Amino acid sequence: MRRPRPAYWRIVSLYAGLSFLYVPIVWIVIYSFSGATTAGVWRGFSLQWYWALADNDTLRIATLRSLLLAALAATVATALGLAAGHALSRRRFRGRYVLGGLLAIPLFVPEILIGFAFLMLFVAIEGLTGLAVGKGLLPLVVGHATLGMPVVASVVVARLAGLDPSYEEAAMDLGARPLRVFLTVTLPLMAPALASGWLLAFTLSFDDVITSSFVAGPSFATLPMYIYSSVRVGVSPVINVLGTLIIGGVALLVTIAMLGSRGVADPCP
Amino acid sequence: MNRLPFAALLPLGWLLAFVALPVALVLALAFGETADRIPPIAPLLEFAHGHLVSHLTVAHLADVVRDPLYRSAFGNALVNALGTTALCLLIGFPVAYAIALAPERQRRVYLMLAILPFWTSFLMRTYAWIGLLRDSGPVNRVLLALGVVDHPVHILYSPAAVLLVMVYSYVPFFILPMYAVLEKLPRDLLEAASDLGGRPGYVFRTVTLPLSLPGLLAGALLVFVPALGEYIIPDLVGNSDTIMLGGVLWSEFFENRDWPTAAAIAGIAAALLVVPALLLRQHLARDRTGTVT
Amino acid sequence: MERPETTTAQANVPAVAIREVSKRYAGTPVLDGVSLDIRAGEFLALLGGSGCGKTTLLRCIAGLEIPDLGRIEIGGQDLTLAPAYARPVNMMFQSYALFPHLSVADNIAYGLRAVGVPAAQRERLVAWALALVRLDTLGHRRPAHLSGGQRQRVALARCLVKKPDVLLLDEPMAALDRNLREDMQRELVRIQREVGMTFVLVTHDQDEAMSMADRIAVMAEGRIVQCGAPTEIYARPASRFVARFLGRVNLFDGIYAVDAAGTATLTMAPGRVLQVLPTSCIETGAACAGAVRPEHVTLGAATACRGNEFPGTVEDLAYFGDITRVIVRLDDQSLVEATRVNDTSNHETGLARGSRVNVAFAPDDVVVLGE
Repeated sequence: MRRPRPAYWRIVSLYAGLSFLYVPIVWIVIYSFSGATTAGVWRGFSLQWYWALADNDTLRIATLRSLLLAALAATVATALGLAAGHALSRRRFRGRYVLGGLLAIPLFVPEILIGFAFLMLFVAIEGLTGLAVGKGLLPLVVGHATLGMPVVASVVVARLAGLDPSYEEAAMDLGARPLRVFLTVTLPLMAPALASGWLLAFTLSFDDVITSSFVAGPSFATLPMYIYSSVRVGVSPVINVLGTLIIGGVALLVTIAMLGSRGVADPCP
Repeated sequence: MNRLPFAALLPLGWLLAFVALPVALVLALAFGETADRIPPIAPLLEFAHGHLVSHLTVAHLADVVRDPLYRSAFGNALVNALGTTALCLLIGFPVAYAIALAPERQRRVYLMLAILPFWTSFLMRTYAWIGLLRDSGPVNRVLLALGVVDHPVHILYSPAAVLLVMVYSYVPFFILPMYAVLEKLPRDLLEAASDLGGRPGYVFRTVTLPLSLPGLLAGALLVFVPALGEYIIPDLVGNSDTIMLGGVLWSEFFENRDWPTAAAIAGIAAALLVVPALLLRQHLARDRTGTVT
Repeated sequence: MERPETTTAQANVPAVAIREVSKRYAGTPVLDGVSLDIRAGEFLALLGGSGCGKTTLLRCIAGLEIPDLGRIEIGGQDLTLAPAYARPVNMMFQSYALFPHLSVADNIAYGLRAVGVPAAQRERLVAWALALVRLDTLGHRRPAHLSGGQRQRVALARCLVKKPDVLLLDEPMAALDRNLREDMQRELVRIQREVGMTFVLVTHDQDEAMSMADRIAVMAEGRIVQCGAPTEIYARPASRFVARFLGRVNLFDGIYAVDAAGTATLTMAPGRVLQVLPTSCIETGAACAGAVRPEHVTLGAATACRGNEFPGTVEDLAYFGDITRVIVRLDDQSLVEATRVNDTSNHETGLARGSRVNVAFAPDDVVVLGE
């Protein structure tokens, strides 16, 4: 099977499978340019909903809030995930299984259970201390960072598994202390993995409805919470515009990330 | 075994504080009582009139076990998750296999194409299906134009719509791990099998499938477990008759403000559905190398 | 570079003193009471098969592994527990471990930067090291854009620039193809002479060890089974294992005896006696083996001039160009291998399968080995 015969079923399933994934995306983008007042109805090319979006203050605030939240949560998640992933794959220590098991919980337990649990924590802290920690950005950052951290950790573990430990050993052998080894060798070699881990955590946060709904409360609505509540009411071309912008932004970020990671490759397999 | 490295302290402490502790609180709350205050729960233990008073009850847990509404919600979630997993397997496996068998350079492009939607907003893609599946939407228009149906079919707000969108959202979670396993499958094993006289179907059944089974099970779990608790998709494209696990938890919490019942649902869901799935996953992970995921 | 300058200069202090070092992995002993003195300025080879513990020993010297028991002194200082970065030794990794994100010059400068060598001095040292390995013009390249041989030179330069007391080399030729390997072996010996550093080379290749090292320490099952100059180890192996591991050998099992006149013999069977070199290590009556190198075995018509002579039949001939290996089945059914050098005179008197020959070797060429 060095060069397998081009089998009919392969081509059909490949293109059918991939098209299935893109149908909704294409629909969103096309109908964002429609002049009709209902989404999914075509009434001539128009940018009117783009202008409508630009005038919507609530949406603008929610968007900025979500971007800030996602950036903060992704950064915290990356730092924690890097520490956890590095410890898990490079060290043997007591508590390794506890760390691995706890990391698996946010990854595998349905988010609705996790989100509910987060809120209980903040309620308990407020009840015990009287501090208003369960309001605003803080609980959201904590919640989203906790959700993103296992994702980053698994990316880190996967990257470190493929990384020859002799790079770090060589650095240490050449006189670098552990912190210097980490900063000058481990970290640069991990950069592509960290970038994709950060992006994953960012998307996770930027897309999150459930955890946000539990811990944020209606007065501090994030963009997905806003979208979710308006989508429950019905489809609107403004949502298509927003979707197109998100899709465009993500495509841009992913492209940048891919171009950026191309330069650093491991020469010795 | 050495002592805990300093760098592991922070993530471990974080997880204990923000995962282990909240989970423990939910489990404790399942034994709590509702109260007419904010937050709407009575303290589990309280010092009143010089006595230590406990407000602990198994009433909510018993309600959740007994009430047919919750039972059917668990059943619906299970059926829906199983159906989603089966369909993801049926659709995802051929796609992953086709990508793995494609020539090296095309493989990367296909893989990229399979991953890209996964990066764009999940909420947006679910929203798009509302537009696509409406009676006047593109799906019905195509079906009408092809003459498959005479008048629009009501797909939206039905269990079928939930299943379709669930499969759509979860299939990348199956394709990726499946591809990773199939891609690593040594080509010379397949060559040896066909050299020894195996026809493609026979080689697939006797070599490819047994060797990719662990990856297949891991991928299936990666779909099944989150699918069990899915809330947004059934809420947006399903109907209220087939309410699921996530739906009852959400409505107890946000609409009825009955936190102990919500906690009881969460606790029972975790015990019945999540814990067995996690144990199975650990078992699968032990067969392979010891990594987190 | 914050260590006293005097340590290695003192002639009596070994560069590395390894004392009773033991190390286990998951209960399996990898190093089992290893003791070894590495002399300052020598080129020592640790030779052994895979899993014999040679790499673990090297990593213990480097500080990448900590022995369970025993001591390691470097330049007279006990550094058994010192971390890798605090030791005056450097290691060249089998994979070279060149940092892919740094240029060749930055790779070489890495170890200098790590200990805070000022920029001007750093540049001077990097230029010196690049010149030493003959890569003067490639400083700006990334490791990914170098050939295998060039990578090896960069890895070497990266260690040399630190001017370590001891340079450790872990199978440095493993990643190179055959032709390049021999060039690099000579190059490495040249560089070692030029800088006068102590080199410790780990290898499984006996030719590499023999041709490069001043001394060879042969390892097996976590122990050093013999240590000495290549000629000494080859001519006087201490055990069957060493005799077999280095070069080819014929072994004859028998009972050792010395008579009153001081003549030593090895009785293989009643009436089949070898005259051997007397040894003080083995007592009369002990079971032992007589080892004879194939190049010491002569083939020819019956003569009485050599001490040991046995008739036999040529069973097989293998032609190698410069030499021919001849396998002879003696009349007692045992096999003996002889090497014939194919100079002009020998080409004339060709042997063939089935030829009757007399196998002969001098008593001085039979080394008696205990168990």
